[in-house]
Amino acid sequence: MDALVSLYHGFENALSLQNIYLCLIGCLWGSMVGVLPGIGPLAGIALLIPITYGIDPTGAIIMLAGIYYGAMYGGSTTSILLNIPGESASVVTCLDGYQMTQRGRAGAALFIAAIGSWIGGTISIVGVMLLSPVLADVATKFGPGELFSLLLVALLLLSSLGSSSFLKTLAMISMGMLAGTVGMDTLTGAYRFTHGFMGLYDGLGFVPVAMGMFGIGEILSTTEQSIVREVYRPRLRELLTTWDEFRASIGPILRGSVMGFFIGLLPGAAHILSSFMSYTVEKRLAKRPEEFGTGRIEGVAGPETANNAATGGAMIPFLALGIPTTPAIAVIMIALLIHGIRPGPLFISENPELFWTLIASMYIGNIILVLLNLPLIGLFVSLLRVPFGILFPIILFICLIGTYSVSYNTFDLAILLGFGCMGYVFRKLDYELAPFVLAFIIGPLIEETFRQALMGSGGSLAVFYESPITFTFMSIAAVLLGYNIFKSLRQSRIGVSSTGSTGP
Amino acid sequence: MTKERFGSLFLIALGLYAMVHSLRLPMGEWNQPGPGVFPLILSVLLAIIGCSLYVVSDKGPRLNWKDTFFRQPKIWAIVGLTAGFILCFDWLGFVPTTALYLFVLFFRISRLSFIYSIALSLGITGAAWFFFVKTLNLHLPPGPWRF
Repeated sequence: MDALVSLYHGFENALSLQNIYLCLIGCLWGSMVGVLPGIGPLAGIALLIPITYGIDPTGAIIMLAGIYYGAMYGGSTTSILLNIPGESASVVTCLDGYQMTQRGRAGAALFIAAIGSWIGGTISIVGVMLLSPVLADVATKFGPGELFSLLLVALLLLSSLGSSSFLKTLAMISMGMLAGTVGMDTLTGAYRFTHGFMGLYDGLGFVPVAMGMFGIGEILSTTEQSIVREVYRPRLRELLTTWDEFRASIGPILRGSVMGFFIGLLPGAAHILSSFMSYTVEKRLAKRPEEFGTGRIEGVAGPETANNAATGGAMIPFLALGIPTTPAIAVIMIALLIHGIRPGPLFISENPELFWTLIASMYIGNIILVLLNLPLIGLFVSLLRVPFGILFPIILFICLIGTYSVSYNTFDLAILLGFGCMGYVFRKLDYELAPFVLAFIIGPLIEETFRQALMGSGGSLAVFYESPITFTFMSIAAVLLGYNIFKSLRQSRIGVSSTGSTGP
Repeated sequence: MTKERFGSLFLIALGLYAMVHSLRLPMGEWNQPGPGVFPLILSVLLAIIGCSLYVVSDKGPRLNWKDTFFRQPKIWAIVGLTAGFILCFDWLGFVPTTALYLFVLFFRISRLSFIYSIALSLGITGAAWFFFVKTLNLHLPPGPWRF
């Protein structure tokens, strides 16, 4: 009952003219960002951070969250119409979505993607609303030892679920955490890895690091490819699905909602994983699985619902525990920190108005997105007609100004460029970038809790396994580590034996 | 050398650098861990991962240095131009640096026509100035010409 009253007050705030306007801007920008390949939600959010300086924290998080879930909506458009995923989570939508376009059913695919996204998004918000306060309440009882072990599990999950090899992901996590140690040590005041550069005394800024790796790095990679786009523009009257298509989509949408929400709780590539899982499940459940990939609407409905439901799931560890599970969420966290608000176990109890207004705005935002995405599909598609040669200098310039405006320091621009080159090189070497960025932001917290736990226990390592919570988390961590080492060894052995058998 | 091995050598080098630097920092005691402990753990881990990757990655696609990194004049031109933008930003000011940067990108990298490049770069610079400076009140460097 308390939750409903709080939600009612949340709606009162979220329905103010300013907050609706900010939600609309966020959703619109998010959809555009999702449509355009080469500029993801992370860069989209980071670019609008300067705009939030002049508005209150509630308005700021409403707008930035709107970009985050809006980008997931927009990502399906290019997958369906062009066979180019606007978002990595929409890769799987290309399989059947583009085939539907080829068969003249693009409108129906876009419609079901939008409806599925709306249902998935809305169901996941109910989950955020119900689970976040409970989880936050449990987390307030956590000491540094418990928090450290939880973060360790999060990082190991991140390395297990990554699309590249376990060792490579673990390397990126270690590098990200090392980058997080640059600057002044908060406990002793010692400077680490600064080499006398004053610009590094406060550490590496999150915005230049993340924008460099994702924004600049992506632009540099995309510039190598010449992109020629043939854009199909569906008419509004083509958007309706047939009754059979609609009926076939109900199951995938409901399954995708639940699956996406729970997978969204996991750190790392939850959006990608949720859409792939949903696709696999729908294919397994289908009477004629061989038809998947030829334009089955279930192949669009399930994955698109799941990746939108995952956005809600990802908000729970962020709001309740202060753990960002995706780079885009990490940028929202940075924006909140700039406004003096720290997400974590105390966030909901200290900022109930902000939390419930955000929840209410997410309900509103999901409706706005459906209303925006269907009639404005032509506008978003027109964006794709802008040649990349015109688009990339603008994106580069916005990345530069967006980074400069956070600290008004040209040294951050140099960091941006440096990490941009690093992102480009790591892409070339097939290393995943998201674990680096997530570890970079979680790293300082892991170090702090590790050292505080040892200080509190007088140097006894028992602090990491003596309480039931730490014991459980450490056991999960050990199982994850063991499983991944076993998997890596098996893979390398298979590789050796297969090369041996085919060799001369 | 394989692509994987190149990556692993980079990890080993970074791990060793971080290890040397961490060892110079105070390590403290078990009940009072110093600032060097955590970076040392990470650097050792990084070096071990690098070595493991080096050992298991003797097979796989070879790294074609020239094609991968050096035969990409567009990429390095963009990096160079962006470095130039960063160097000139405080000194020349927001408007001239932006206009020049965008013009060179449009004209030289995107191969747009001279007139089109000028029009686009001036238009975008003007719009950006209005949006960032006038609307958002961002304090962007004014340069010697005060704009």
